[in-house]
Amino acid sequence: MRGWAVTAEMTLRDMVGRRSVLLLLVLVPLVFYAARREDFQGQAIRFASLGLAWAVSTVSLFSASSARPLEPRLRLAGLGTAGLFLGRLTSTVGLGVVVAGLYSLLITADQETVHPWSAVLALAASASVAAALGLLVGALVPRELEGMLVLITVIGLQMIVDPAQRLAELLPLWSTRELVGHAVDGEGDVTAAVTHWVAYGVGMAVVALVLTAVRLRRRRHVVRVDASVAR
Amino acid sequence: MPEHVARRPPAPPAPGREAPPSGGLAVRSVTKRYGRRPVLTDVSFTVPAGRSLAIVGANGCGKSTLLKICAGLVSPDSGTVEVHGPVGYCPQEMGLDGHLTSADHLAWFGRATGMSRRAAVERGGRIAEALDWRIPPRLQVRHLSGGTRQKLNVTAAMLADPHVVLLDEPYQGFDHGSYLDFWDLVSRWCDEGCAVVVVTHMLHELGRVDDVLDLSGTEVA
Repeated sequence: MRGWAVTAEMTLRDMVGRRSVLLLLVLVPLVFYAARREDFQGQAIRFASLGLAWAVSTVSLFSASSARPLEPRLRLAGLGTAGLFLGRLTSTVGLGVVVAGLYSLLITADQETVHPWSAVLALAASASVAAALGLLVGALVPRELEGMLVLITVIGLQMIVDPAQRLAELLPLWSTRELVGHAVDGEGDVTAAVTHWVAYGVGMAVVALVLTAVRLRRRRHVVRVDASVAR
Repeated sequence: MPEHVARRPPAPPAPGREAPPSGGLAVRSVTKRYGRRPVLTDVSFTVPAGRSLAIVGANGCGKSTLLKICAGLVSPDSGTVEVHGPVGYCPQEMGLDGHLTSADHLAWFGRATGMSRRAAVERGGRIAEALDWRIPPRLQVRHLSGGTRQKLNVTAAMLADPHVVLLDEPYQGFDHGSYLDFWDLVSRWCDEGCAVVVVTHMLHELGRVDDVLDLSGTEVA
């Protein structure tokens, strides 16, 4: 895990250096929330969660893309693949969870819910799954534009697909919908939602880590000889 | 198979020899194709510690690919590379994060060898000084000029005190003074025991290196 802390720090510094991105990260879910606030309650919370997922996954994708040319050199310098990946994951999840915390406060104050903690969990699930999704897409698709189109497809599909369809459950943000349902109507399987959240979050992170490890692998044609003898 | 003609040809490794003469870098029978197009065919050379090699050749002849193979960033179809000690690699393209500062980059690279942020920035500052550059404390890399970014690239490559230094046209955008300083630095790094490989188009500077490898098969004057 060599390099985990410094990579997490640099990922945060990179994001803090993009002030307009930070602003949009906070505002995008608000736009989604405000657009459906006058509808029945569940829709506003659900759309805030999906807006959060959209914003966090995009930030995560661009964070992965911007580090892509730098990572082979950092690996060559001696940092570990796991450290590079988990450092980035920690920062993107952390940033997403902070924004989720802000929206938890807003929703708790502004909406009447049967189970407020389920709404909080829904937002946390959105942020963390979206961070892993962005890194996975970034690992799978090296170019930002193509990656963005993949994200639009996945999250857009989650928004429009009929929740009764089997496809809805196969998509990464199904847990959010289920938790929002539990928060608003008292309906929804919290255990299944949390299981789905953990399985998809961890699963996507592991696949992204494996892809990153393959990309940054030590090539077998290079024979490294210890030159610790004094020059 | 392209002929590798050099003004002072680098010594090929002896058959079966397990190590270059004294540290440094040994490339043995490296072949690389992109699709059906051969880029490198059976390339072999050694760069012992304390010597420098310039790789020259026409555009697209495989200079950068060969350097990436030496750094272990690209796999050849066949052949091996033996490196003694840590490798410093400076790419031709800007492999930097535009929203981080120069100090952030040095802290990140320095951490790989256990350096604190302060130690990495101090050491980087000394390397940068030799390139006639003073590291700006808070300016994001995207606001630096192309030449200054390249100085950061060189500084990051040299931060961990590498024994083998691989530089892919590292002086692009340098002003004239920095360009001359760079070639002086190559000589200094060799004096300190590094094996230095420079991909270059600057044929008039080939007198500043010990050996020349021409990948295009055209003899260097």
